[in-house]
Amino acid sequence: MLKTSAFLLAPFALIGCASKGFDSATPITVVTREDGSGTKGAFMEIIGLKGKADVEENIVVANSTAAVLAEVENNPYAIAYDSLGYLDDSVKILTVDGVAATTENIQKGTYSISRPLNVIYQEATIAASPLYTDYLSFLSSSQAQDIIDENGYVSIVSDAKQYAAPSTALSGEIDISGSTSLQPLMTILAEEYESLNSGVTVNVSGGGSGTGYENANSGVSAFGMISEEFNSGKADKCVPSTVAKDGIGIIVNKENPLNDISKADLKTIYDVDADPGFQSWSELIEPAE
Amino acid sequence: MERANRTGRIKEGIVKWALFGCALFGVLAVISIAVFLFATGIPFMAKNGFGSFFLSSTWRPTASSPEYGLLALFCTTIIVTLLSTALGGGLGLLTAMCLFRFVPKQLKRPLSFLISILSGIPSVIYGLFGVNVIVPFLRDYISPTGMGYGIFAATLVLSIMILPTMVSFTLDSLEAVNPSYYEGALALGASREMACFKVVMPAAKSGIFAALVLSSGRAMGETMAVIMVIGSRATMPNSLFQSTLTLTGAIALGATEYSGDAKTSLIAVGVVLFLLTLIINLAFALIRGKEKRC
Amino acid sequence: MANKIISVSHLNLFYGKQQALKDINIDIYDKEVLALIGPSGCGKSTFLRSLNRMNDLIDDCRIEGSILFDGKEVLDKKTDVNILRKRIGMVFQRPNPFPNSIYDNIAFAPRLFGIKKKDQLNAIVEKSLRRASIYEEVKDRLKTPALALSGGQQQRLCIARALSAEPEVLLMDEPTSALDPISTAKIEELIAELKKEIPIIIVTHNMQQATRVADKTAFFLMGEMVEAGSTESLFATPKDKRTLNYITGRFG
Repeated sequence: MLKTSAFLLAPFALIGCASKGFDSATPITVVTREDGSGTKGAFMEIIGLKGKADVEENIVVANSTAAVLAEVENNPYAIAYDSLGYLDDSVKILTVDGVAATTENIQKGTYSISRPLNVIYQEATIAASPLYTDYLSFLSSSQAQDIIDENGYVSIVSDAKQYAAPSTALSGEIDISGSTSLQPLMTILAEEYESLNSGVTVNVSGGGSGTGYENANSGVSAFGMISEEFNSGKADKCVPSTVAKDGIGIIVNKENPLNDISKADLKTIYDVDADPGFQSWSELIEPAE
Repeated sequence: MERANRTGRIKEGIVKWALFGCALFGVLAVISIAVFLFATGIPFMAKNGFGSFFLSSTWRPTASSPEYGLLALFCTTIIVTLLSTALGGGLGLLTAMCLFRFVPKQLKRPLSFLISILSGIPSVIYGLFGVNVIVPFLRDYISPTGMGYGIFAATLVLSIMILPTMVSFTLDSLEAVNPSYYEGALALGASREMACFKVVMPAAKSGIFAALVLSSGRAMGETMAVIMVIGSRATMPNSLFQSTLTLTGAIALGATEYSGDAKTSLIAVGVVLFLLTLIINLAFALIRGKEKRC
Repeated sequence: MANKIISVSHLNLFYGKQQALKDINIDIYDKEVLALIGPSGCGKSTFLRSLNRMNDLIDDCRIEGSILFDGKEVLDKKTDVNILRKRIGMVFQRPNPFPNSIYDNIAFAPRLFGIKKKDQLNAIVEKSLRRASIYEEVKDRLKTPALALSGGQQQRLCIARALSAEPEVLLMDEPTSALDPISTAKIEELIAELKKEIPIIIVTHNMQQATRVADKTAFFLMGEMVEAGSTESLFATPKDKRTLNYITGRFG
């Protein structure tokens, strides 16, 4: 009886534990995504570690962007990267080499850790379908750009035209699958498109960039979503079209005093061959801070 | 009369064939899964070398020069399974014993019900509990490395998960023991504890062992909750607080992201898991069979 | 006159609201066999189980009155029931050897009470088996499972097991009801031997058995102890009409 009640109460006791404050002598918990994740592929490529293995000490592989956020929010010693579109004020976004991860800086190209969000498709398939062609033109319309900006992504079409539904009503289904980084944005875009074309259903599903390549190339989906520079080797029948740009934010826990990190230090943190790597946060945090 | 007989016989025949069809469906499912796994997995192992597949501990299917070494995943799976079976099994055994004779009769049903609820909770909820409660707690108060993730966290989560299986099977086998043994022990001056642990428990040992085997099967097969708390970097485990990965975890992480050879390698991992599961199930059947003969 | 070992007075026992024993008064003396007879459900087994507090296992069971054993109150909450049950041994209706070896069955109680030395245990096992007249039959297979023995042997093993705790009183709850006549005869012989050392209280549904083994007999009916006295006089000249009706087979 006592045992059972203790068992039932334990979780509450644990949740109630107050945080101990930031101790910079603690090792860095390196948070990454699983191999095959578009965000990871993009991040590792940008910081110059394409195809390298993960570090071995103090690493956590989170299998979704939500899991990455949760880990950084809960763990004072974590560092992670994630799509800017996902980040909120539960975590602290670092400046990289003094440049903030803002829309302007990504458009200008001064913020170095960013990537394109692409849809890929087989040209012949799109050309053959008025519906697909129309959807593709919608993606570069002013309505689409507004949605992209509103949701924290970076729009890239500067002089976008207003989209209007064609006079002969379109009907049918559009199947889109792939990168979970692009999926939430694409879902909102698809809803807007459906509201403008009542006869059309757009199915947006995830699966990851790998799925995006595979489904577009095999014709399972009309559009594949990939959150990295298009690699024609993975889908030789397809061509890409950039929907938006996504900055990858570097995030730490709010208790962490660090505000800026250099791209070089970032590389050291994530480099399995870094010798020596960082032993603790104190090597990154200036005494003045 | 003749006619009624004939329609009766036809009906019987239909039912018989329908039932046979259902049974056949199950058998076909097992066979087709096995064929799918072996036909894809074995040639893959052969192509990349059985030696490197089983003896290398580097698991990097998506690297530009991929490596498919299973050893780290395999060892982690075995360690996690053994530890959680020991912890959850021990806890479950004591809990079952407690429910068996040490709680008032009125409490027994509500308590067993509460524990059985554990078995209905989806594993992702256990994962959430693990990642939000157990992992931070280990990181802040227990772990020597400042790392909450790893085998220890997975063991704790799995121990809770296998508790209902362990408790219900153990309780069943304790209750199946002839009550006159318990009575006889008390009449000799044994305390309730002595009677339970020295007489009833040994008499139920094959049932308890079967419960352990079944629980270990559950622990080994669990995927979602484990990848949420184990850190998920495929590394040879050398600490309880270190990022590592199980066989099931490797499959789950890669299944939606990998393509080509990397995806095939997951099927090869599936073959190994299938065989491990088969061994556990055979052990369970063997124990059960032996118990019935006694 | 022999020593008074157990003295029961004004014993009332209830299962919930139902009264199962009504104002029982009886004394039990050393080195004699007391048989408890009566139809099923008359309370004779319940009474027997009150003596070593086995009724404690039953929820809702309430006992009033007094049972003095060796001058101490059995029903007292402070009484250590484990010690009590060691001192008042019990043999059940169905043989219930533990599912392990013959040796381990007998060594169970001594081990419980802290005897660990091998030769000491061996001596107790041999002595207990001899006292239960089964040693010669099993001495070559002490390590074999007790459940492989025949029913009669199992019951004698259970008697040996009860004796291994060196009890001062032995309770037997219809010990031969599951046995064949030959096994029954062996157990009855054994009772005659054992009563030279300790008093035995035996519940039986078999009146011939009571006349064969018991010095005294008590007749129970519907929770009441109708009559008790020397076996001879109870069967020859019952004082109560109900006793007469029962022993002459009018009911029961």
